[in-house]
Amino acid sequence: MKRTERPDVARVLIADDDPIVRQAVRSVLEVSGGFQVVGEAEDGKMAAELVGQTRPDILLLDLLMPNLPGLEALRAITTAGAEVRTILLCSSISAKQVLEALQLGARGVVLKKRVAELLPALDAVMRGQYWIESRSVSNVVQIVEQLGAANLQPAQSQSRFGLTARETEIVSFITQGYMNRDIAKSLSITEETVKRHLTNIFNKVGMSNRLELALFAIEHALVRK
Amino acid sequence: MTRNEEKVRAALEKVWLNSRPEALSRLATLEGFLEALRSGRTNEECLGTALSAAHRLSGSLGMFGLSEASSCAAEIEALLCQGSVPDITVMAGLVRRLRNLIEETHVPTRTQEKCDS
Repeated sequence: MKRTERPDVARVLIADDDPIVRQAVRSVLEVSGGFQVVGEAEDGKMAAELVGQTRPDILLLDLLMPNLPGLEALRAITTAGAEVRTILLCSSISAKQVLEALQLGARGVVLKKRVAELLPALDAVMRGQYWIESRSVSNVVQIVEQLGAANLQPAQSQSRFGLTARETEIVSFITQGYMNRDIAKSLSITEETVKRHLTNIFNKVGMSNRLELALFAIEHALVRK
Repeated sequence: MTRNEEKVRAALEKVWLNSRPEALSRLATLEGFLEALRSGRTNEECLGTALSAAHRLSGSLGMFGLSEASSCAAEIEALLCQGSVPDITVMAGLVRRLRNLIEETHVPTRTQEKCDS
């Protein structure tokens, strides 16, 4: 199924060590319709196993759990290649953790105290969008900007990773959410040239998509706001 | 409030009614830890249990709209995470406040529930 296709009933796996939270989430989903809870996991290890067994559309994942913390469970799930959209459902989360979660493939974050936002978040994520800071976001690079990621501590290394001035310029556009045609227009070059530059950039920094590249650029201070 | 939001609110209220005894039990765990702290009988296991209770209270109370109680539990959690022995006076104040906040939450009587339904 493509990420933007929304099944009539979305299958959800709830992973939280607190049975009260699991019950509350289950109740919210059940009264709302359109969702089927296919399993509950009480720790990170169990969450990773159940994703493989139940193949849910959505995983609601707590951060602090026994056995395997949420982000490590997410890493295991991503590494295993599971096609599940993960939303972190947690008490609190730092911008750095949000970025790490996005890098690991998470599609959204909902704070437990805003559990009423769970339904719009699930809908947004099922439509292929992201849900961060209480709203739906279609462009992940916007999220990075919103989170003020550029204010995070950049890595000490000032290495440019062999990028040319033009390539660095293109990376800067990527972190601002520009599409290829917009970059081409801004630099008065063709879209094909932009694509060629991007291929070279991906090869040099070892990233495979725009999100990874944007996060990498910010983390390594390759671009300035 | 939309009809869907009302349904969600009602569902959460119902879960809270069922979960309130467990929340009070977690609070009792914190009070037990406080007593152990006062008598100098704390250990790693005791601290871990209290930390887990505070963490769970912080997360679950927030879901039921008890944001002040949730913040209070989060403060207790932070205090227990410090690594050193928590300040007994601060801990006692927070635990007492948490009990007040949980106890003062509205619990509908059966009659009220019937009226509401």
